[in-house]
Amino acid sequence: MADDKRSKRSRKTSRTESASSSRKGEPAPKSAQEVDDTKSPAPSKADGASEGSLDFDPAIITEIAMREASEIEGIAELTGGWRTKGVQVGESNEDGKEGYVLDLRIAVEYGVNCVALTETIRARIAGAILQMTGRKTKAINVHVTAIRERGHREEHHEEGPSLGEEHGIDF
Amino acid sequence: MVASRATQRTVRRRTQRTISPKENPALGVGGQLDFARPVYAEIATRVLRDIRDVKQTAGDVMTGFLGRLLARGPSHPGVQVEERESDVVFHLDVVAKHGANFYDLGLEIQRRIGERVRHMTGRASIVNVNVRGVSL
Repeated sequence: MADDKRSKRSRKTSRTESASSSRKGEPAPKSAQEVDDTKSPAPSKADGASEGSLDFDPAIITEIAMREASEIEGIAELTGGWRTKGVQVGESNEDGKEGYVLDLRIAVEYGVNCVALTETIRARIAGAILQMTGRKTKAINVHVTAIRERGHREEHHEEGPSLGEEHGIDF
Repeated sequence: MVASRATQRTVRRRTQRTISPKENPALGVGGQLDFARPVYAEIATRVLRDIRDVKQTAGDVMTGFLGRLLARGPSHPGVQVEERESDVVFHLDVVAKHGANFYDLGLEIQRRIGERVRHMTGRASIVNVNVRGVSL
C-alpha cells in the first residue's frame, strides 16, 4: 500500500517536472527508446560504416535491358551472338558514371512503326535501369536487323525457353 | 473570387509543369536508330507480294541461290537496296501479270513501298521499278 502511494507520488512529480520544463520553453525529455537510440552514435564516415561503393557488372545491365525488351510489344526477338544476346553495354562507360550506352540488335514485327518503338524501348529500358541501379542511361542505339511475321514471338516462346529461363531466372 | 484565383494558380502550375527526366527516363536518352539492308528489302518484298498485278520479283537465279546459301535466311532476288544520306533507294525487277497497266502498276508500287517504308522506318524512299517480264 505504502509502495503504491510512493509510486503515485513519483509519477506526479515526474509529470510536474515535465510540465514545468515545457512551460519554461525547454524541450521535453525524450522517451527511453529515443534516449537509447541517441546513446549509440550514428555511423559516421570516419568509422567507415557508410563508405563504400556500389558497382554493377555490365552483365546486370544487359540482363535488365533484355528482360525489359522481351516485354515490349513489337519486338519479335533480340538478335545477336550467343555472347551478347542482342544487348551490348558500351565499353567506354561500363562504370555508368557518365551514363550507360547500350546497343540493341532486334528483329521487329512486320508493320510496326520503328521510330515509336524506339522511343518506347528507350523509355522503358532507361526507366528500368534507373529504378534498379540508380544510374542514368546516356544513349540507347537500336539496330533493326530483321523483320518477322506477327505472332513469331508467341511461337518462339512456345518452342523454346524464354530469355529468363535460359539464364535460370524466373519471371 | 479568391477561390477562382486559387484555381487559376493551380491551372497555371499544371500547365507550366514540365516533365522531369525522372518521370520520363526517355528524356535526355540519346541514340541512333538504324536498319540493316535486308530489312528494307524484306519490306519491299512483302509489299510486292500484296500487290495483285505483280506476279513475282525477277531476280537472278544464281544471286538468289547464293544469297540464300550464304545468308542462311530469306534472300530477296530482284530487290536491290541502296542507302543514301537521307533516303533509301530501291531497284526492283518485277514480273507483271498480263493485262496490267504497267504505268499504274509502277505508280502503285512506288506509292505503297514509300508509305510502308516511311511508316516503319521514318525514312523517305526512291523506288525504281523495272518490269522484266510478263506472266501469261
